[in-house]
Amino acid sequence: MLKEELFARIWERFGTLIILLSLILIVSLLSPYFFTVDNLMQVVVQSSIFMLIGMAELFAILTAGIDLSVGSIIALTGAVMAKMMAAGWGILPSVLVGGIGLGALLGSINGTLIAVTELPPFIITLGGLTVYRGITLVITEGRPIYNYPYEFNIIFAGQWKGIPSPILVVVIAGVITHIFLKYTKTGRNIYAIGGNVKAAWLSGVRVKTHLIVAYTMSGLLSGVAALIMVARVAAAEPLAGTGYELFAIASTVIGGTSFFGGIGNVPGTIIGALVIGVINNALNILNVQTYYQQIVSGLVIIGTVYANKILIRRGEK
Amino acid sequence: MATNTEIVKLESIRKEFPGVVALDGVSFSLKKGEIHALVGENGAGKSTLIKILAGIYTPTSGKITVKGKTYTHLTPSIARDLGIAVVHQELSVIDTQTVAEALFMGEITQGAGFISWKKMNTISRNFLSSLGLDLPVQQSVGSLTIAQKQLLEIARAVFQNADIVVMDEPTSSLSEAEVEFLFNVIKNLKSKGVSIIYISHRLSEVKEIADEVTVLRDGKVTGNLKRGEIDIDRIVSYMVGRKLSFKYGSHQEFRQKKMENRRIGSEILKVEHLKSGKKVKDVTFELREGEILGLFGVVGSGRTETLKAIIGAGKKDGGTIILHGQPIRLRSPYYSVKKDIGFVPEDRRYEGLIFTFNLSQNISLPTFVKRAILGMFGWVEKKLEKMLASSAIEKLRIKTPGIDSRVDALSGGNQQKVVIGKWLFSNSKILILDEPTRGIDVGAKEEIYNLILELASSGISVIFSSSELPEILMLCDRVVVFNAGRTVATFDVDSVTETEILRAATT
Repeated sequence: MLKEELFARIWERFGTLIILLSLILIVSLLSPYFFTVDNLMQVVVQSSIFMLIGMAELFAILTAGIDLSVGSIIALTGAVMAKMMAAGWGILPSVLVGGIGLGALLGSINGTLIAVTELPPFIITLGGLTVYRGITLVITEGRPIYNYPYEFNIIFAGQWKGIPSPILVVVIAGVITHIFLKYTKTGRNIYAIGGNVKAAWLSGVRVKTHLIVAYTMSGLLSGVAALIMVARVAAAEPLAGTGYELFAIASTVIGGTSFFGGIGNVPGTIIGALVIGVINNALNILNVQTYYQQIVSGLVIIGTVYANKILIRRGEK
Repeated sequence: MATNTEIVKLESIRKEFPGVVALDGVSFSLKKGEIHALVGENGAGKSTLIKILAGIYTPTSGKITVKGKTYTHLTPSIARDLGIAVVHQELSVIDTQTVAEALFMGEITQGAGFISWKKMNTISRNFLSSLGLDLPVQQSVGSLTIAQKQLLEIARAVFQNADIVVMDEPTSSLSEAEVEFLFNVIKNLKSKGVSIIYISHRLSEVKEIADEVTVLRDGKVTGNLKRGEIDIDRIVSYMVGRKLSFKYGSHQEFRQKKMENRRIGSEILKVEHLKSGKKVKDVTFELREGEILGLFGVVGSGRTETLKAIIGAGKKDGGTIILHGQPIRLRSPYYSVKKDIGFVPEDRRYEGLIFTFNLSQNISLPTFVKRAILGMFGWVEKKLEKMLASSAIEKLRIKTPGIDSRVDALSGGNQQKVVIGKWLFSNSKILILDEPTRGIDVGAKEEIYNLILELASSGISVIFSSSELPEILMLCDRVVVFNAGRTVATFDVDSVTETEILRAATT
């Protein structure tokens, strides 16, 4: 095997990890406060939402689509869940119905519209982004909801045997998602659709059904992200998750997911989310003004994805 | 008008590709203001000849004389400067431009760097009406019909000063009235001194329009007819007699093998008066158990669309499909897969293979769809997947580094075997193959023929659609002939002549 080809293969598999480790190394050299157990744990917890919505986005992008509505689904499911709890529904039913269940429902609406109208997913989920946000503002009347049982926050933002609950939630969701994509036929078919929708269809793959499944999973995972979002803020904010589609897309794309569909996985997406988490955390520690943080994040996202592209392609020649 | 000046003269053109001689000493001459038809089956060498004239290919040997100057080869820009233009079947006009813009093709700066729309529109309108064309110059190209787009493309070539225009199958997607109109435009061009090379499979049209006909077969000129002697039977007689080349066996061996262990049973699939879109008008045929049924027709005769309508991948506007004696309606390919019908599409790159999947994932796809509940739920069975892939590699003799290698690295023949392999181990009872040997080398073709025979002797019913008559004659038991969206004849392969089939397909 050629040296370049070998390099490309290694990069394809471990590239994002190499970027993450280099970032950690650089930030550790710049600040003594970064590489501590407490802070690193903090980074992971802060990234947990990105990991969840990154996986949500992974489903959409694997089918060669996109889901712009993840942030709005976080807000809407968070608000409904908080309202249900405040109305005395109890934590578990509210989480299952108002959070995860509603998330799945909203995602399935996106998926059904995409499958039926055959409009670009970009358009449908752009519509979803504003409609779901609008519904959130209507039902919350624009005000945060925090009159629900405080135990909820303790459960989803606290710890279990020393492990922060957001991390536990991510691990459970990540393992299930990984198994679903890699070891079930439904997952395999989702990859097939993204790889070549015509060939998949002619081989008997039910394209519309699988599109609906993919967007339902995307909505469901956004609903799970809402649990952590609400618990960490200790309120269901009507504007929660605004602009998060950017982090979701960035996490999965930095993690090696191809915009053309059919390529990408959960471990890559998790590492991609950590890259964003590290950048955000480092900019805080280094006292970079919030306004500049956005500029830097944007540039790092472009840089990382570009590095992926040229380094992998180098070996394909 | 003087029509005897020779404007293009090709002498003893030979073109070799690795392993094949595409043109073997072809001579051809085109006079000014002449309509010269070039006829021959697929693979006869027409496209190669045209590509040499357009400067895309360099001939291995031979002389090209255009307008009195002799060249060993042309380049695309020399060809353009000499006034040679090719109008292809695939249209190249841009839908979002206006008709006038398309005509001017980039050369639109008029006055101080700004576009003068008024001037462009007037010039375009005058030019088009001089050809007898009445196209709306300010409308977008996208709003034109296919026939109008085709006329626009021809007009554009002439507008850009071409006086040698090659038309490649210009009528393949036109209705009869549109063909008449096209012919008027062609005659108009001829009267203006434009010389035309007219490629077509439709011999009745050739007879109507051409001043001279040259017939190619296996890279050689087999006949040349002048106006007055042009006769469909004579053209067909020059076209027939192609030989299939073999790498491993021989024709006789194959014929013998074909008869061994074959049992053709009762009817399994019947298609009656099928209609689908514009391309399939009235198709009727039946397939028997263990039979290899050939579908023959020239390119554009509606075979692909028929096959897609049968498996539920194209719309069905009328007719009945009867499977095992029951009328059925397959709403999407999923249902045909469930009914044990496998489909190998014409275009393996865009419809057959998933390039992000490795070999074993490609092969196991339909099997997994079939075994899963509703085509989706269930675990990926890794053991089964491995088993499928390794048996496919062994049985089809796929040359690959391993079961998990990328499919884009395989040769065309091996890629095609992967697409066929998808269906072999998913228990298909009917296998539909659309041009399965297109673009693959001689050895791989032969392997695919042998494979199809093996499948048929194991009881699988095969529909083999092809525009290559020799392979149909060699491989199939019966042949259904398509002509412009209709099935016009069905023959027993052993008791029919090539001439009869070609006549049915081209007139």
